[in-house]
Amino acid sequence: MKIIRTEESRESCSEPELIAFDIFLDQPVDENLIKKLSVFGSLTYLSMLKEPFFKVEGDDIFIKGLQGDQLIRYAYTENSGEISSKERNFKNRIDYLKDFLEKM
Amino acid sequence: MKKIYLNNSATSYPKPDRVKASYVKYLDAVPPSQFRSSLNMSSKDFQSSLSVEGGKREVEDILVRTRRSLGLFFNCSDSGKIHFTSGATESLNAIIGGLYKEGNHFVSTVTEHNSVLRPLFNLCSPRDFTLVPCDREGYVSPAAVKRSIRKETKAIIVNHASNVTGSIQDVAAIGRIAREAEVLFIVDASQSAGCIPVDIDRNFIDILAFTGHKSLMGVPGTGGFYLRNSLSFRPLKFGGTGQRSKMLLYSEGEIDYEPGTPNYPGIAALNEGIAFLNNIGIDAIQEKEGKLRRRLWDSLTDIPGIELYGSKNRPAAPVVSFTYINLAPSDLANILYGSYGIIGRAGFHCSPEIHKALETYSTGTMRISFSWFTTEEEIDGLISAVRDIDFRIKGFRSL
Repeated sequence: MKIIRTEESRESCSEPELIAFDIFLDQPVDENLIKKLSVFGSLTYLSMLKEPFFKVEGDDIFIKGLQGDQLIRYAYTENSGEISSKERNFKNRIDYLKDFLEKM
Repeated sequence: MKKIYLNNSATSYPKPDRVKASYVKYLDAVPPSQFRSSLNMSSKDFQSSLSVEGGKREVEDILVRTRRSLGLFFNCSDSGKIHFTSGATESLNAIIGGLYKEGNHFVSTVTEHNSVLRPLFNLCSPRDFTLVPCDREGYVSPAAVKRSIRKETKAIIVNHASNVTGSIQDVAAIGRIAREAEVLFIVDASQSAGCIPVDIDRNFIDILAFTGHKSLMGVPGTGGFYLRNSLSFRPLKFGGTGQRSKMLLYSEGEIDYEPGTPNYPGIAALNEGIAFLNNIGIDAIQEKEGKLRRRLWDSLTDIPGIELYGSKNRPAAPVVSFTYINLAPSDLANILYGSYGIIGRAGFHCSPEIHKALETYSTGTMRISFSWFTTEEEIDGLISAVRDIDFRIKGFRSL
């Protein structure tokens, strides 16, 4: 699985105190991926919903979305106010997620 | 999947046909010349650009016509004092920044949008403004406003209708208080203009900020403010106005608040939005939207685990905020959109302080907001979706 593109969420204030990005994938999210994402934190998997919803919550991140979608939202707390470190922080996190997905 | 748009507090959708037609017609028409009183005034293209109603012989500048439409709509005796901006945020920044001098004091409320809060927090000294609290339903007591007035108070700034709870503040009472105390009364009508009556003269409003793209049915990038005669403040922007070009330094009383090229297509569209609302009548709009609000409120109340914010029976704009015990608002919004095609809005709605009173400061709320075009079927679609989500989650947990 590959990340096609990432975009900062336009209305990230819906995710309190977090910086949120929308990540577009080349394939739909399936149950296998959702379960593997749980390495990032504790998994809430609402499989009973019309489209199963998942949310993985770590210490300072979450990843969430709907099974079957090609979009996931990735959000994290930003401790540093410096732009350069903000960008570096984001790049490191996305690179890590990208490697993780590509190994799937 | 058919989309259901219930985020009209952010921007109204759909727009009336006449609004869209006016915007396009204005873009298609030859722009007016400086000599608009002679050749261009008789130009067929220009005439048709000014009105989509047709048959109107009198041709006027679209800015003049729209100011007059707005003046009548807001019941102000001098529509010449309506100034166009890009929206309420620009208006409120101009007003607060222009009026503030260190030592001047503003009284405002915790129900304000960030278009008031951020100018106050960033342009003014913290000791120079007081935020009056609201009750658990988002209403501000006029008596509390009165108690916050000091001898150095310059103005009272009040959000007419909350974009979080819909709560409509008692601007008539607060206006009287301001008049008696001889302080300016500034009203943010972003959420009220076009869905409930806004009466400048009757409510002693000295300055009114409005946006064009919400219930006034115009397009984004339009709005303005009304400034009572004899008032003035330091402008936010300076630039070309097409008038008195050699005068570089403004003196008192010669201030122009509309530098730069006006948003003519947007203003023409706003004029048609006002005409659309006038044809329906503000009372009919209020009645229809109030009925939809009560329908949603009653249905959500029946779902255990849903908590509503605001009031069902006190005056309210067409907004309902709620939380659901089993899902964070942003997760609920995610599911409603992804699985049911319903577009609402989750979070703080750029109005953080009111959430302290509502006790939703950690998660925000899920907000649903309507317009004249919202149907009962769309509201029922939302209710059915929330019930379905609740049924599935509770059914699964009871297994």
